[in-house]
Amino acid sequence: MEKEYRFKPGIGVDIGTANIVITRQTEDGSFINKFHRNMLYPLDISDESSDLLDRGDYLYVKTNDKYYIIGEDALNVCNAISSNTNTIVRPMKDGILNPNLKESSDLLFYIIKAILGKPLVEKESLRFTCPANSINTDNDNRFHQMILTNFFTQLGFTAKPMNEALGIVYSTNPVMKSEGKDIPLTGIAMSWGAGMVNVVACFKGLSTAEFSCTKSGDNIDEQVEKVTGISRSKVVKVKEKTLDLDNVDMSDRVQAALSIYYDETIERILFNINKQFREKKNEMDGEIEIVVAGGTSMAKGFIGRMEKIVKKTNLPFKIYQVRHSTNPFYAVAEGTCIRAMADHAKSQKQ
Amino acid sequence: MGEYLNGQKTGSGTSTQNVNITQQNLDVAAIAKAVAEALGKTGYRTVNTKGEIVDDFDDQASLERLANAMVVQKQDSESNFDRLGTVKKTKGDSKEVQNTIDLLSDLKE
Repeated sequence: MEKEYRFKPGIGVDIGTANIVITRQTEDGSFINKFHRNMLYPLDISDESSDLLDRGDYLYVKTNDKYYIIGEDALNVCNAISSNTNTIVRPMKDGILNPNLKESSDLLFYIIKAILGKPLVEKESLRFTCPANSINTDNDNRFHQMILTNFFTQLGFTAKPMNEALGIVYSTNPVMKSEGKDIPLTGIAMSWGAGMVNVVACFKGLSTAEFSCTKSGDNIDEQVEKVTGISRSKVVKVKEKTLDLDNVDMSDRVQAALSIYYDETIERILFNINKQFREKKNEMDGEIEIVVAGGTSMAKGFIGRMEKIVKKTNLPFKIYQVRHSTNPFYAVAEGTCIRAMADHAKSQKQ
Repeated sequence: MGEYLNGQKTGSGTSTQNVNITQQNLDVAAIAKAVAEALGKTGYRTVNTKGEIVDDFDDQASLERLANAMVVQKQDSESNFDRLGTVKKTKGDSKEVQNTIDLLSDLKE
């Protein structure tokens, strides 16, 4: 993409459990997002596998003893060979590098490098996403941050981690209404990823409280597969093509199960928001909005379902609306890009 | 070699050290000092003489070293691509984005 567009310095990198998105802004104000599915499918090296790769024109990395088919192709080959999607390798788990998969982490660096390209200027500002510490696992993201900071620094960038949900704040600009004034970059943002949900409360661009919770979209698929006995790839297809949470066909057992597990997931996250913010005594003077993005929020009718549950939940804030990002899949990466551009602007002032 | 009288060394004609040693009350520090002086500097230093264990493990620095070692950029891997990623263009509100950049560039972290 570097050949076609003229970019401003500052790059955003959103490394999620399911996807990697890298974003730059062009000089005309558009965002150019590069997307890659964060998954690998291993194949032993043999004449048959070499033949399959040649015929299928699949993207792959070859290591000492294996081919790793990467990205969307990993899913396609897996579906063609086996119905068991457990054979797909995910280099990330619960939003951070999977410590049990050293080889796949090394491959992940190789892949990110191929998406990222070279810095535009010397020591170009880069922001990458990092989940907040989880309230229901003992994940500590500090080590994850250090590894990625080192990696990007080795590539010639000035890299800093950033809370994933803050990316949504910077790209959607939630506004608090207080005493007749609009306070910018103030409210609650929720990033509904595949592995986890990240939540941040923000005041004028600064995080005042943040946490994450595992069991998001992947967990919904897994539970529906368990209770219906229908393969996860088919469940995902129904979720993406047919499901409308405003108008569920309850005679279809996959749709019915999806509807129930969406309810359960939204209710659990809002329960935790309530609990965390009450315990920390976070207060906001005005009426705020909740801004929402992420792949799991893209199911049709998701925002309507969430609004209903927000109304039932006794949150410690006055909420005037729940708003979906106009680019829910790219909102986090666009926000990290905006923050990286702000870092660049700051470095020019000094 | 000297003589002992009531357990106390009385010295000898060739003695060059004047160390007071009794069986009941050995002055260990004085012996150590004398030995050290006789041997010269050995390159060792005495630490934790009071038996205290000093917690000098720098957790942050060790983690950083480990994190650095974890970043292995595979140079030897073969692949059939140079560049990766499906490109999608999105449109932002340029004015709002610039306001956000201005606000964030004034923030202290």
